[in-house]
Amino acid sequence: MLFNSVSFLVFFPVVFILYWFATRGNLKWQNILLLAASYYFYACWDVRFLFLLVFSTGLDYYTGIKMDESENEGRRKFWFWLSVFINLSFLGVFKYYNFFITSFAEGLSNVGVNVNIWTINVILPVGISFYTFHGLSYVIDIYKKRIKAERNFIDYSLFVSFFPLLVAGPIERATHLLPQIKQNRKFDGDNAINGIELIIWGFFKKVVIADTMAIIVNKVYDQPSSYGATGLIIAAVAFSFQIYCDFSGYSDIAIGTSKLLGIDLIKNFNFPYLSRNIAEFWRRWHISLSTWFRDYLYIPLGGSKLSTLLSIRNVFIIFLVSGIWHGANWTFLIWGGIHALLFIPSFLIGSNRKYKEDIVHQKKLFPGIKDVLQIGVTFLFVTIAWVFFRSATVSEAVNFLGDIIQNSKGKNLAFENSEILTIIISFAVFFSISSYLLYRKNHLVHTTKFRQFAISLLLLILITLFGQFTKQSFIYFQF
Amino acid sequence: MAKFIKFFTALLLVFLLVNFLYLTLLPKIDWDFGKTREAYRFKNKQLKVLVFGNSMAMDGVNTEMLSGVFGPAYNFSVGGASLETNLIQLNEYLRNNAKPAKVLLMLGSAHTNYRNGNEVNPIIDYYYGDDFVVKNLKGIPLFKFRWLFIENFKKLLSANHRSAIVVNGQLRINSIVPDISSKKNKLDSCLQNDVYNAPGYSGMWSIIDVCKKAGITIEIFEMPCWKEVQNNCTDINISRKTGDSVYNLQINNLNNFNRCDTLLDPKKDWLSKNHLNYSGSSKVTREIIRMLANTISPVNPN
Repeated sequence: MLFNSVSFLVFFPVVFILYWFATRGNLKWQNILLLAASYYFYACWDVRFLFLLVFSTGLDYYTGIKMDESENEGRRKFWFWLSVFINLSFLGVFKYYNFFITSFAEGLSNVGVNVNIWTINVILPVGISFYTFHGLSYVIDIYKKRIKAERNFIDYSLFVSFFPLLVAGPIERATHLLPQIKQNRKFDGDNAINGIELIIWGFFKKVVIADTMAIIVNKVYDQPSSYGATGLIIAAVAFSFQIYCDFSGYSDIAIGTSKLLGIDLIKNFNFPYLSRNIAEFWRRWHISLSTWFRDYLYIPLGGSKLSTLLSIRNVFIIFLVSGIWHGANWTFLIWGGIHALLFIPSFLIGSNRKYKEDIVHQKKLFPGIKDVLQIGVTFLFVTIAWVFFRSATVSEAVNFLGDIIQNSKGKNLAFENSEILTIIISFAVFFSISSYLLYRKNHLVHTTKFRQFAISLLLLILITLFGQFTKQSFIYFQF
Repeated sequence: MAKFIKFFTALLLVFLLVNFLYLTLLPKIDWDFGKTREAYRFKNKQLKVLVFGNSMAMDGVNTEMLSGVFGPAYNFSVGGASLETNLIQLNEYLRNNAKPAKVLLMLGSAHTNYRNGNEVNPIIDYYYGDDFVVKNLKGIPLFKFRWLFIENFKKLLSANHRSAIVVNGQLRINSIVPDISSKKNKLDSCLQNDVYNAPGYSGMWSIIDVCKKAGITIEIFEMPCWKEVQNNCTDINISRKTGDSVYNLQINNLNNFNRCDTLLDPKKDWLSKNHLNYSGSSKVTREIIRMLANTISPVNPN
């Protein structure tokens, strides 16, 4: 079930009404209802993979308790590694097996050894990367004795499967979400209004900006070699906005939906394209994933506290793993590698820890010329890296970038006047509201009730007028 | 909860109000809506020539000129109209008004993908479709007529759009967009009979059927387009057997590139891609009158 589908428009109000009215505020029944709704939400996509989700949940629940109960360090280690091994095996088989086996065979064939390989023909279970990471963070936290194992299976299952975040995050931590699941929830009117606003804002970003950009992007990326430099540049920039608005739009809808159910999820985006260097970009882009890798991979590897060489190795590891997390393709690996290469200079000169405040903060209402230049350069590099992320193959990405420099003769993108006007109006509203949100610290709730209302109404009208309602899936569902 | 319900209800109510205002405003500001409302109100009208088509015909056929020669004529064409839409318009006109002498069906096959498009134009559906309650519940006006927002927004930016007028159903815009496209000159670019038998053309055959049964002469034209989609066909003969009737007709091809070269000035006669401006429409209509003069008795031969 997609957030931008008619079925969700029926599903969510039913869940909302049952949740607040039929359960009479009974926490146990609220959680049972949310779990049932979450499983139904997932089963709408493919009921067979629901069993995988339930198995993975049961495994982490059981090994968590076993780790908690074990006095013996060896036994704790056994249960920990069992959980990690099985979780990663599922991920490996469904997501990476074909990639590694075919890459291995291609490598052998390059040195003259031909082997017959066996590939599996199976679709990727939606959300597997997200719920596996939920589970992994939970067992790692128990193993590191940061938290105690959850004994209530319903509560734990809800932590893993809570439908707003089940298929595309944000990747929650047990320390943040589980206490909320176990706590009585009261309806908070202001919080719910903020939730509605976030949902509308998320929908606007998804169906108006991202899905309109998708039309341009898909047209060019289907036949990149036939387009000239201008068409390719437009498509590359359009993809930067498509992926941002698609994914941050999804996150806003997820966070807004949760707010309506009295649960706060962590923030996943914080104006990433206003970053002044790559390090700042990664503090603002897909925050729940980058902090996950920081806490569960980078720091355990020694982080930046080792020698320069080993620290650089760690940087490469997290960026390459982050790349491959997105998909089993060399393009994602190279995308991660490019970000590592862009990150390392600022890491070496120590500027990676700069810019922890928003570009527009209390003492500064407008960015300076230097800020604007830095933002422009960072956006340029990020956009170049996205070309690898979006392309089907590495050679396609290389040719795409090469043609931007060399090919001025290919065809241009043709737009009707109406399409140009639609894009101008949509982006004018997008930039205006983004600036306003930035100025208001990302919360419409901090503004007057009238402005809250007016902004929501304007967005609702624009969604109706300009939204693309073509059942376009969210990009991050494939990860 | 009361606070939230108040906010949410107010949001929905104001949104509905905006939709209602939009729907109230459209017939007053939008050309398609305005002329459809005008045509909807025709009762016992004695028109001699009816013109049907999509936006290409709405801009490109000067019914005032036709009226001067053949008697009262009206251009029923609306933007994005399928042939099914034109069929509904013809039937509704015939239900309430006197039979015309002639129906001109203006196709835009080189510009419009009719092949599978049987959807009824939402404006026509709004006026001639279900009863009032159903039609108002069926689609949110802002969504149902969403393309009209940008079309009318253009009036804020363009003086030519603001000064445009509708005369006898023809939309007259004095804007010029030169045709800088180039001819393909392909020998296979000629439309064949089987094109006109595709599902999207079923409305055309029904229009032919209605006209034949009512004793109305029907003439079919392919509208001229930009050079890149002009063809090298002469007039096209089409035929189809429907029930007991066999229809053999000729489609007068105004999109032949030799004819277009003679008729139109690529630098002056276009309003947008494949859409004629007032100057272009006058030239094309003069040609239509010349072609029709052989088959219809002119009211005023001079």
